[in-house]
Amino acid sequence: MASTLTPTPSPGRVAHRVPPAVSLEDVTVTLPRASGDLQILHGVSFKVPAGSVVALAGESGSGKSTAALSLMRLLPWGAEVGGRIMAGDRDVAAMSKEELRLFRSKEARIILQDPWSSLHPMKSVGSQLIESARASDPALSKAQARELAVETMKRVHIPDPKSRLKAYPHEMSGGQLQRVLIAMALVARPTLLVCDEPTTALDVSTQAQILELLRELNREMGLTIVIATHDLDVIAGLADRLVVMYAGRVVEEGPTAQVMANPQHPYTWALLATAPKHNRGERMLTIEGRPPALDALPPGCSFAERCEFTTARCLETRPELVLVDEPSRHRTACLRVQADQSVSEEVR
Amino acid sequence: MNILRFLFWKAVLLLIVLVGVTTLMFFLTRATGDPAVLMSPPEASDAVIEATRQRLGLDRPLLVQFWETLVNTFTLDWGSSYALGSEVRPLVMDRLVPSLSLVVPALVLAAALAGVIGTYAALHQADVRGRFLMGAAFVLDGIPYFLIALVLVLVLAIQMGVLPATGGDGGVALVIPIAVLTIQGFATLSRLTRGQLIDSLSQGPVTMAKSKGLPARTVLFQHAVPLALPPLIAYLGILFSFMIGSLLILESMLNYPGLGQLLVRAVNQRDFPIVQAAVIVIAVLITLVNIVMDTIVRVLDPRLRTKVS
Repeated sequence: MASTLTPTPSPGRVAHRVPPAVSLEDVTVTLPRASGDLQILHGVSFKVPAGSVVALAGESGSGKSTAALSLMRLLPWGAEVGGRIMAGDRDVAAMSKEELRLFRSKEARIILQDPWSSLHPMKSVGSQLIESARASDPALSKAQARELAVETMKRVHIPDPKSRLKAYPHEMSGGQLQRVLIAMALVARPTLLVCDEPTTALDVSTQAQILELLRELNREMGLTIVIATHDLDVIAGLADRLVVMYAGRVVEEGPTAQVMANPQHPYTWALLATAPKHNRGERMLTIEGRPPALDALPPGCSFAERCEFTTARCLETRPELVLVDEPSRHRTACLRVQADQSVSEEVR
Repeated sequence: MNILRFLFWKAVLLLIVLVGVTTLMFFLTRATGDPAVLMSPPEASDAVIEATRQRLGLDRPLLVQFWETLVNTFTLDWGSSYALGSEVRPLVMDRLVPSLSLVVPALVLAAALAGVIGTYAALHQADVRGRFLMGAAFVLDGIPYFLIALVLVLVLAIQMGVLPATGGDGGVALVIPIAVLTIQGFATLSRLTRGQLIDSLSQGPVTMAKSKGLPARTVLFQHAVPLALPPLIAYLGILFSFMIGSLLILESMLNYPGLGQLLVRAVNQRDFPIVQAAVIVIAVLITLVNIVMDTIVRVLDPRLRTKVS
């Protein structure tokens, strides 16, 4: 049964089985607001190697969801996107309507933030799953699509999937709905899964189950996963690489283990210190202050206002992302780290 | 299943409306003047007026009259007209069909036009065409329907002479009133349709449908439109009652033999039995149409069908 779900090439689908590496190159996003345009992303770059899990971490308003949505060109109406978003060797922004439709239906699927408001309230779960499967593979008959839906629901551990097909979203729990959303993506047998805060709406034990499921999918099916989250516990066991975002920019990026063990940017450090799991037994810490308003970013480092190490230079000069470790491509955007580096280079 | 229960409670609602409207009409009409005085010649003696009052049964205790009216409502027997002497029921029922043949086509036309134009304007919300359409709807929405009626009469009947200004035989008489009601209904409804659709286009389920790579047509008609529909259908019920209300003036203006014209005349003549009957028929009609709309919404939206635990 599981064989239908593993990414073995079937005739007619061969062309899409190679998972694309996804990359953002200097991406800017501006959304129209009543009060004037608001720039959400200020030149975001990161790479997602095929078959890996990359996490975008940051507070709300950091731009992580916008970055995730931009990968699938799902930004709200009127959004202006600059830079390059590549899926394999294709430019997502340059795709024609039909190419984009096929890209979304067969290759890249997304799990949206809020399962309650993502599923169509007037359609049964089964009909939505079947529709999703047939969008990816129009050759599937309704019966075949239904069978695939049932198998996939089993795969994401939804009990009694056959009877659940007839259920409407409002008749199911949040955890079940999130699984349905994942199943909805998986029936398409995608190669890229974008998750926008997939566990935020869920309780802790359901969270753990969903994460376990995502890990399984990555390992067993080689699914490339991009996951936007504010919860570092989500990232710790799941992501290969970690992209830390702050006020619409990447402030640190590198292999998860390395970034977590040896954070370079004070914001990453603070983020780790405030995550409940990483300071067991102590009082919960918080990061003082709040992120700057996106329409009034300071000329220097956006984190300067909340940072313990702020110097006069931080307020004037905006730090660029620089490599701190060549082999792992661990990068950070902090003047302090860069100063340390140049000092150590001089010593050498 | 519980659709029967739903309909049962709607029937109870209808009953309450019937009793409420009857009560209200009974006391309100009697507060407006004495038909016995109005129907007698100005120089009539008190004895003549008293005789008229007795003939109409208005000399009996108020509660007796009220009880009789209530019973009459449920037996659909409203007695005889004070002014015309003939039986009220056929009088009112004969006017019902002409009125409905204005409102029903107007409602259908307005809904169809608003569906097309509202959807088009929602999809072209930023460009000139969409804005022009909504600007036009906005202006039409602001013009009172009787003014629209006057303009149509002026242009179509007086200047172009293609239609009679008032009355007319058969279908010809219907054109202007239906046009007025349609314009009035469609203006509001298309703006509402556009707003609902724009709103639903930005909702999660529609983003979800797009993210599945469904064709744009499927996203629009199978995902966005159903989300936008329930409030619009409920509004059709309200629009129906607006249109019926407009008939009072419209039919009188255009000399169209419908329920509205009958009711206005009866009120002027303090012809209580006709007023009573016409208002009750209208109230029942409006309630029934709203029940039908509610039922459609319920069938469309499964969330309303199941009890949330």
